[in-house]
Amino acid sequence: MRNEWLSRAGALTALIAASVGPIAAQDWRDFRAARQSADVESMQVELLYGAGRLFVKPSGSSFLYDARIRYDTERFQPLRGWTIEGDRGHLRLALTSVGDERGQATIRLEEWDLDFDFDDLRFRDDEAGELNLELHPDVPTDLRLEIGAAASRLDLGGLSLTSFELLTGASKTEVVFGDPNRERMSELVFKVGAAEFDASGLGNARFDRMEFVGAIGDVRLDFSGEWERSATAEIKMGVGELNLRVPREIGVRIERSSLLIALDAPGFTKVDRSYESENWNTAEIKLEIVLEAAFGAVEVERI
Amino acid sequence: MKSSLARGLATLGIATAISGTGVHVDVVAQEVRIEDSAVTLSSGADGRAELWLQLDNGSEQRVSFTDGAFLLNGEVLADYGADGDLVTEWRAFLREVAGADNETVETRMLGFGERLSEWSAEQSGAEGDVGRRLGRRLLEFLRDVLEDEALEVPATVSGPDGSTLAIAPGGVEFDELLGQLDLLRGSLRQLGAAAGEATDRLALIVHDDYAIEAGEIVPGHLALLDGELALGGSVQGNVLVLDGELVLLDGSRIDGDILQVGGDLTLVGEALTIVGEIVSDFSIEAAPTAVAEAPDARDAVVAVESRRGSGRNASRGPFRSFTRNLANATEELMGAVTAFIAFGVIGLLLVYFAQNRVEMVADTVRHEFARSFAMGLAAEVLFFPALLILAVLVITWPIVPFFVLATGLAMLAGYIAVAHGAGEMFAQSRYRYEWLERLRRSNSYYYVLSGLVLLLLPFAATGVLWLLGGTAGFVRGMVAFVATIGTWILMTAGFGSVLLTRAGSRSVVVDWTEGSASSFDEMVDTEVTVEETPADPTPDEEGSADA
Repeated sequence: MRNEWLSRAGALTALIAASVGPIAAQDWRDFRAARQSADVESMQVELLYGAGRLFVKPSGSSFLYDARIRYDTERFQPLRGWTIEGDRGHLRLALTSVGDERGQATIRLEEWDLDFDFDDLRFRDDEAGELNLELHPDVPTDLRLEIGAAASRLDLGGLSLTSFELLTGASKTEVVFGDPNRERMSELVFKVGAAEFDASGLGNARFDRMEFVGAIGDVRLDFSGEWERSATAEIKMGVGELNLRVPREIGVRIERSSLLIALDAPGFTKVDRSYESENWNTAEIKLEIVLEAAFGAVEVERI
Repeated sequence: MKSSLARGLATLGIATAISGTGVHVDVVAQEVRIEDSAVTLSSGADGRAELWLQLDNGSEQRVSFTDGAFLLNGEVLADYGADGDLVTEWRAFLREVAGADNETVETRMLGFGERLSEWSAEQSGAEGDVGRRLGRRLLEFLRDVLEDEALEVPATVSGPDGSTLAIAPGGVEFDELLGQLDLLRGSLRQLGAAAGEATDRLALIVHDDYAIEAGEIVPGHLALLDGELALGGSVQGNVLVLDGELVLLDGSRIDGDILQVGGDLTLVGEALTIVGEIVSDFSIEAAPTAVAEAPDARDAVVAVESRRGSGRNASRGPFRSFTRNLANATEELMGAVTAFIAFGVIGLLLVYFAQNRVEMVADTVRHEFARSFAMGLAAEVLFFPALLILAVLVITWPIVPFFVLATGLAMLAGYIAVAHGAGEMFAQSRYRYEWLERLRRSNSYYYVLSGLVLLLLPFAATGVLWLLGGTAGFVRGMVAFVATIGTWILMTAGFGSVLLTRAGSRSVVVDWTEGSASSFDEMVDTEVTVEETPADPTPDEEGSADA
């Protein structure tokens, strides 16, 4: 009886091992879509990326865009569409869950109505794919990224972004404006879910208005960089810690509207409902921050 | 060996005799002339029947049936048997061509070659009959000998320059090959459709290395199948790279797209123009972590493979779906087993160290479930406000971790107590089936373990439902939902029971059947102090705190 049990257990173990084996075997492919600078004066880029690692940076070549995706064909399929209206190009790039036939997926891409199966989220390095997107630094670009569960590094410095919007779910995101943005950015929007978010060099982004909406997580917003003009920032934070780093030469006023928040802003003076830096009235360039937070701690550093 | 047989027969010109049967045989006969010949027939023990030929290329061929074996130049090609029809016909044939009537012949034949070549299907008379009969027998023999082995005969294709290409048969399923050809045909059809009006202007580069110099124009599409193409001029269409290497030089221009389905693409120089898009999609074997950041596109060498028309249905066979479902089932079952082990260990420890308290909480859940659930729900609702108050009031900050920890432990203990209660109910039930009756035990350790089995059974069921594949997705989801909600309800009730009984230290169970309590308050406030006793290692017949 015992031997029978043992043999059954052994058979079950072998069955499990055999069944797990093929699952571990994935079918990886590299997809690339690149286009040289066409006759476009500007472009709009929309990217949907479900899970994996994402890198965005300026192109070192004459390519208008150069996207390389490493993906598991068992779960994902790359889609891209390119249209030109007048002198403006429109790139749509997505890595979506497989399931649709390609024709249907193309239609959904055109309508930007794409699905991503939660089952397809992969957090292990050996299961997650990778997307590298390079954009032409000289072409004014409206960039919109929708990221699911991904580890992202976005080196946006040196690009010509006229607007940038980032929507991300459960992710670890690093946004870096290492060099000044070559265009005036009308709007800089970050909407993050449960995330670890770090944005640095935001002064180089040269934005007029920034909006940050975060649900849960640790957030660091570094406004260092080469400021050209005053700007506003609207920050809405759910639960978590928010660290704001602002250059000393920038005049800062924080209008606080929060529930249970611990604000640590040394050097700031409370005026009515707002906190003002000592150089608010004298600074040439000013950053006005509207802060809405529920629970957590906000720290403001002068750098 | 069989190939030697075929070649030998062909060389001898016996194919000529076979052709007399009117049956076509794919054997290539060499053009040779028989300069001399001899026949040897003997009726001795070895039954030798031999034909010797000297050909104009200087070679000699000796074909014989001797002692039941078929020999070519002394080499045994096949065992045939001494009395077979072929031997009989062979001997008759040799007698005929030798012009002898006896069974024993040893003679040289002049002009045998000419006579052999004169035979034909239309030939009448004895010679024709002999030739046809022999041909028929030879054909049957060849079929028997070569039928199963024919595909294993290595073939050689000769080129005009004298080079040869060996073809090794086997290893390729013809249906598979046809399927690939269909796929290729379909892909080419799509490419052709995409090419639009210019499909009639397609330049194919196959093998060898080519160069399109600066100033030269390809007036249409270009497909590179093999070799290397250095493009310095222009292509007024799309470029398809199937294999080989396409090198784009300074000044080159492609008016359309580049689609890579194999091979390499190298971009050289600064002043090249690709009006369209470069698209590639190819299989890789490396782990995804091997990918570095994208290299400079100018130095990029991309090998790609087409992947059209793919989708979940196309890329996943039923076996893969099954294995994936099996893995999911295994994963969920292992999760349930792991939870059982973890809760089981905790439960056993709780029973060992605080059996009376566990039983008190379990009894409260069983008999005062509604009260317990209401208490637990209220506690859960008030948890965060209480936590906030503790957090806001600076002096209570140190309490926060203990508050959270105590809440977690209370919920865990409540869940264990619920399992105890469920196991006890299971043990006290009567079952129609004998095997269920055999499972009945009565001690707290068993109650906890059997109760955990009952509580985790729905989660295990969701795992089993994976085996039914996607069709059971809705049912699986419903079972998982019910299991989750049910677990929350039971855990909440257990949590409430822990709070009501002050961690099992007092009884709040109202015995409605006694009717001894004069008022509700009196009933509720009935408090029994429980003394801690270590668990009795012998099975306890019933929960000791029921009283």
